[in-house]
Amino acid sequence: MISLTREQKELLFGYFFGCLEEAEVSEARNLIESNTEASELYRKFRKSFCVLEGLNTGPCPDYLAERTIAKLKAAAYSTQTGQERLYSLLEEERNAGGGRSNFWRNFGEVAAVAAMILIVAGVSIPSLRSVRQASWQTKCQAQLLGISRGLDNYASDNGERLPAVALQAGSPWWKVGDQGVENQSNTRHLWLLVKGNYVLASDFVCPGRTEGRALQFDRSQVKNLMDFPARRYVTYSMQIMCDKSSAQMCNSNRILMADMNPVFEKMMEVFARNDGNQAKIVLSQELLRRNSVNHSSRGQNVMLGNGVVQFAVDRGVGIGGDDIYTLKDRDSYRGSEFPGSPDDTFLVP
Amino acid sequence: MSTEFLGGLKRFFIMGKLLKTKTDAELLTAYIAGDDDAFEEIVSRYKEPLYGFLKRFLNRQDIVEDVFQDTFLQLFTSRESFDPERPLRPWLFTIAANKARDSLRKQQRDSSTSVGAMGEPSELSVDDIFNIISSYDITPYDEVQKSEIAGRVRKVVSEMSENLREILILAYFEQFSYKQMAEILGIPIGTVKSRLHTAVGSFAKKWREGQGNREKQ
Repeated sequence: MISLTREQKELLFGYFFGCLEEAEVSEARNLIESNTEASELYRKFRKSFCVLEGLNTGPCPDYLAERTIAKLKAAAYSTQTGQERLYSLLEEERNAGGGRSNFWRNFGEVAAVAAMILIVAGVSIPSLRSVRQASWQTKCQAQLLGISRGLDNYASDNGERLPAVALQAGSPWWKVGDQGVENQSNTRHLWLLVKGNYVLASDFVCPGRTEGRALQFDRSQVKNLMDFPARRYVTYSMQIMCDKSSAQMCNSNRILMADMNPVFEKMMEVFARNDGNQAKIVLSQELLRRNSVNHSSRGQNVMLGNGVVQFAVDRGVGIGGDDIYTLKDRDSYRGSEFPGSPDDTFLVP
Repeated sequence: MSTEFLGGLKRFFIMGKLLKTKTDAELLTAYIAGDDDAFEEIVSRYKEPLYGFLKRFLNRQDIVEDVFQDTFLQLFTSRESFDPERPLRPWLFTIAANKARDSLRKQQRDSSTSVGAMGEPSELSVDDIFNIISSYDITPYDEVQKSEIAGRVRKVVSEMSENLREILILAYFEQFSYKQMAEILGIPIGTVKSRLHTAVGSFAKKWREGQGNREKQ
């Protein structure tokens, strides 16, 4: 017997389908985070209707867009309005004196206009970039939601446990791309989703990293690989988990994944150069404040265990304001540290 | 300053504004003023979601491409009557949905083959939906291949009535709000909600029936 009110059910329903207005979205999130029954029903909803993802369509063919634009241009110039405009412009040209434009006659006018162009370009180019960044941020959220659904499906097929390889305390978590038999990267858990066909490999690359460009990926190689082929194929970081902790993460409000950890991004080379010699890296204050570079350090998208994805402008969004990219009370790392408590969010690599 | 200089400056201000293609409103305004590049940007911005909607709703590639082009052509011909301050996306999908439905009806008139189920299933409430998902496990078996699932989903969705299929796609894939769907479909918000409940419940039941048939095999 479901104890939620009809209004609460409508809220969950509308939230799942993205039909709510902004104020209602916050209300729905609060309901899911505070009410166990609501959280469980929402999880069931997602599990039940994730099959709709099978209704893929593929991208819009390039020829279709090009053909459409060509037809529109033809329509524009065949209209009377277009012709009238053309005649008007031609008339203006003739009246300007011998058909020559007198626009460039005065050097002072030319210089003033050139300055105007520089000012406008200086304003418009950053504006254009911010539109694109916002678009990549939204697409990144959509990809994380897709990964979240993949995690749910995996858990559903595997006794409510998230994908987890046998990564033991003391094992390195940074060796992305290593294809040996030992599990030495925290990305191997996520690779199980690709191998099991729960999530597309391309969804693990944040569009903000590649400026919207898709990485080419040879799917025929998937079955032969133990991990993502290289660092550039996975630009998200995941909570370090041992096999036992994965069940706790399902459907919780703990942070499970986020845009790539900015702290260790450059450190991989240092870890690699000193592998086996236990290099110790001490973090600077600047590293402790930096946001993920996926979205130009403006913040990071974070994904919770219950499937909620949000953009956080600050890193301190773990339990009790915990920094999601470092361990509590630790400012030096060797690349093999594990959290001492399930409340210590530590997303790597 | 000379009149010609001021006229040229005015032209440059317009062009400068066009460079700042930040919002759909600005793009449309620029397009109405005669900037083809602005419309190319609109097509580029909306081609994927529009194509996805039409492909899921209509399925036949030839019809999808015709409606895709007709939608943007309609946008072009009615550009003067549109208020650029209103969001473009719902308006574009309103045109697309109308053209898609017209196309379906034309197909039904021209062909004896049904392109969608006739008749609506009985209305379902939000309580019914939650009872359904609580009672059934409507996820597929472990051993079913993902491509087979995709095929079954396409079959179930294609067999839904036009109204229900349309609203399910607009809600789930395009993530329109209730208010936007009401505008696109020209129906009250209450009808949007009840129709979406029915669509979701209808999909869940048909999917469950499909699973039941597989169990019997």
